[in-house]
Amino acid sequence: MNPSDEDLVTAYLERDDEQAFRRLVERHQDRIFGYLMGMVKDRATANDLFQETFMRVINAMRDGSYTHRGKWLSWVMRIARNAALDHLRKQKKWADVPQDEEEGRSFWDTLETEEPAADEQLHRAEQRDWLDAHIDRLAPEQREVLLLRQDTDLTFREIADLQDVSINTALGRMRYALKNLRKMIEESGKTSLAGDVDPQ
Amino acid sequence: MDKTLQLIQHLYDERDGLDLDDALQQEYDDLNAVKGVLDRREPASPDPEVVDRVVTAAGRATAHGSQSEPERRREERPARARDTQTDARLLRRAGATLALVLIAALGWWQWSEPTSSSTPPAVSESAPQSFDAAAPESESARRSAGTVRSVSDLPDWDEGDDVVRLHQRIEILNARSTASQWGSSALLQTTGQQRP
Repeated sequence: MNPSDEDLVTAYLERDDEQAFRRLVERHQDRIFGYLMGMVKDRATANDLFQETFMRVINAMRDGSYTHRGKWLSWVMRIARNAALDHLRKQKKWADVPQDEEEGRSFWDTLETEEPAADEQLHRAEQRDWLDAHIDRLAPEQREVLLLRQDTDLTFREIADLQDVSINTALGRMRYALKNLRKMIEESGKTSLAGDVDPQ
Repeated sequence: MDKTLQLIQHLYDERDGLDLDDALQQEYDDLNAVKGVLDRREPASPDPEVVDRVVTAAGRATAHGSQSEPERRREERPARARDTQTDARLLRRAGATLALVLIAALGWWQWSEPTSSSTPPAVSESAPQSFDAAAPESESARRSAGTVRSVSDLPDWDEGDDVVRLHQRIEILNARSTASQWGSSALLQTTGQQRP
């Protein structure tokens, strides 16, 4: 049986079970790190912020500040978001800067093909970079909702709470994020996005 | 709630049973195509060393559960920040030590300056007379008196106030120590004559 987040939190706090904490981190590391990467666009910085986030999480859990029983991930995401925004404000980079686009390359060219397994990882990383370049061009509030929903799997209600906005605002931002992303992908590629998403 | 917003919830499985007309169905298909692309995006993972550091910190936090919050924070601060803080602390200590030394030196100078400037002239004027009159039989006293007397014989080029005062002071101290060595009779008589 797979223990819930709360089971693992309890094991760590009440029985000092370090492995329980490791399972918690490993279970959610991609969600949290994916969000941080999307926000700061730099792997080393995202690693630093990931570590900083968990240092804050550990301190808060140990001194009894964690009171969001049943919502550990959304609580951690709030801390991660604060860490990311603090960093961006320090860097004065909260305003978006459009990234350079690769010329003459269709989005469909970047999607999965039947390439040899040895190249697959690199190919997927390139796809991610290419898609991230488009996501980076979204307005910051739209980009953040998209990253939170796609990468961290928070519900729109949780995202609205996190951003301190109404659920309608969060949903509206997501709608525009998807529409704008679609437009960007269509404009950048030779293939239309309309219809089937399968590039083949 | 607007149907276009409900559509987004439906897209992410947060709402069931949404009736879609043709326009909404078209929008749903368009947005679902983008979502499909996003869903296939490769997940990004942190470096394994970072995860290890986090777990180690979590373990340390349980081991140091009795530590106070500031102590824990100090321990979990990145090494780079700790070095900077240590350097700053050392600099502060060095600065404080230097300031103390300067204050002590200034205090010593302030204390010694009035003594050296006031004492010698009073003694130097009376000392030659007293030594001559009171202890003619003492060889050492005679020698001291002769030396003190010689201050007034300093050449013109060597009559700087400070040098003279310092020289007088040395001679007086020398005379005092010599007098006490021989029973201090000369000095006693000297001080006796100095009284009004």
